[in-house]
Amino acid sequence: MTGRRTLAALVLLIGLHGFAVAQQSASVSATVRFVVLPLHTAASGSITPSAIPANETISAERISVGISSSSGLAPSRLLNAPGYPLIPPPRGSSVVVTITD
Amino acid sequence: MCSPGASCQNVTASQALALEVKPVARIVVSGAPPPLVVSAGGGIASATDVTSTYSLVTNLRSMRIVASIDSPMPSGTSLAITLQSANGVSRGEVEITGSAEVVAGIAPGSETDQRITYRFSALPGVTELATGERTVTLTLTD
Repeated sequence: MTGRRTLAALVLLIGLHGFAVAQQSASVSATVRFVVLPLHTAASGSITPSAIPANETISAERISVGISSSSGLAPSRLLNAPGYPLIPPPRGSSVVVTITD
Repeated sequence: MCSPGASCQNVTASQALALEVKPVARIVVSGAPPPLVVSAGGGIASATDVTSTYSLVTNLRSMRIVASIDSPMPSGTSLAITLQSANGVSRGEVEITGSAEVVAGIAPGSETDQRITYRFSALPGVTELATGERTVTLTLTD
């Protein structure tokens, strides 16, 4: 019987101690928002051959476009790039390459 | 009042006073951090915000501040926090994964407008991430 009373007192003591500890803390919260934007890095493009000589016909198969991106990421899609797929550009025209992620 | 030579009788009264100083622990934050925006590509991208502050008051010794986050950050990203402290020892920049101690050994007293720094980082492999939010909880505890 004495043992039970001691145990009960101990449990009560632990309970009170736990309650006191809970009173000695305080919490506050804040919301943090974040986002990762896709990279749209200006790319440089080149066409091979760089110039189409006059009076020469060049087949589409000989034209290719190379692209390098300063991001180091390979573009997953290629848009608005003459010669890719192999489309002969008009002579003397500039090549505009647009990449998208 | 007794005059010299007169017989004086002192009358006293006693009263028991119960005195108690309750533990005090309060902490508040101010400011709403704007979205931390990074652009993918290149090396590790990060964005930092220092617009938030916190204030606290306590009469307890050796208190500390624990920062916790309500859910894990998306894969490839991390959120770190730094708390300035005048009465305690700042742990410096601490990445919040679950909960982490950010200030220790806070002495009794008050601190006002202590700077909170958040830093959001994304690894190069993270190319795009829609806007997300996490709730960061600062707990002043012993």
